[in-house]
Amino acid sequence: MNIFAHIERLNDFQFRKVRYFSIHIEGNEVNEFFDFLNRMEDFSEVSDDLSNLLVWIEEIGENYGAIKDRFFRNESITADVQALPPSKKQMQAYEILVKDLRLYCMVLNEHVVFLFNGGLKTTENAKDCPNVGPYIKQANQIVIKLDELLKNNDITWTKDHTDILFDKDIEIEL
Amino acid sequence: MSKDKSKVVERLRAKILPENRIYIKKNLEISEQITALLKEKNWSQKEFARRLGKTESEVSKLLSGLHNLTLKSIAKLEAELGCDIITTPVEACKKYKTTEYVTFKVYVPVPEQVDEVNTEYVEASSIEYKGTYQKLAV
Repeated sequence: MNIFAHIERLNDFQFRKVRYFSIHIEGNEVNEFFDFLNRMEDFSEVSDDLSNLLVWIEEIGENYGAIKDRFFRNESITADVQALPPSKKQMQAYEILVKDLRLYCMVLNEHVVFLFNGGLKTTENAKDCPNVGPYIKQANQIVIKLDELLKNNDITWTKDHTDILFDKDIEIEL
Repeated sequence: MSKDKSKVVERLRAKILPENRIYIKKNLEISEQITALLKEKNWSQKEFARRLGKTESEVSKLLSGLHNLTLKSIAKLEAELGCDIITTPVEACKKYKTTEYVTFKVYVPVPEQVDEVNTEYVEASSIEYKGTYQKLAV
């Protein structure tokens, strides 16, 4: 069965430096990012981590811009997928931020980021984890489709490349 | 009662502790300030690490915006950089109150006015050749 999705602008996440988007799979109550937040909200052990992740997204969005090698980790399999929080190397010294929570995303440029889904990583290699493995694959699949939409000009850039334009009814076949 | 899934952001934002928000914000600001100072001094992370007697990896963590910096480590960084990384509002107020402001008069050279040049063109065929000039065959 074919699964279709459409692009959704995250109205609560439109900041000075970054505009965040997600995708909404047809038939689902909320978009993928909200689905991630709703599922993680039920895990009390990641409550602080989830709050910190939200602050991180907001701070990057308002004050810094989406700098790939500084604020994200690479999770590519077949496409250019990033994840939050940043890499373990950067995390080792740090004490408050998110530990094993993973949120997969696509950084189009410093001003436009797609937030997908994720979860709580339970294995050393995220790709093997039953919790997050499917979401890495899904993110890679979506990124390929979004790249095609960009190439075909179904998604276009604003003149200053700080935002994107698209038909809200455009369908992505997953 | 089932929760309203579309209101998850509101619920989560309400749970964010103000001190955690401030902590992340300040950490990122300090990291940004150090990065800017290194750029100003034209020091690479490698050079900065050498001066601090640390490894490049340790400096990279310091600049990640995620490191839990102590006041002592900030002092060490400020000593090496020779300037403030953080300034309290009281200090900032003192600093800017004692700054002397000077007014400059700037003279900008104005290009000399040149008479307009007649740039009308005429067809070669319409030129009358007299005297020693001869029309060239085209």
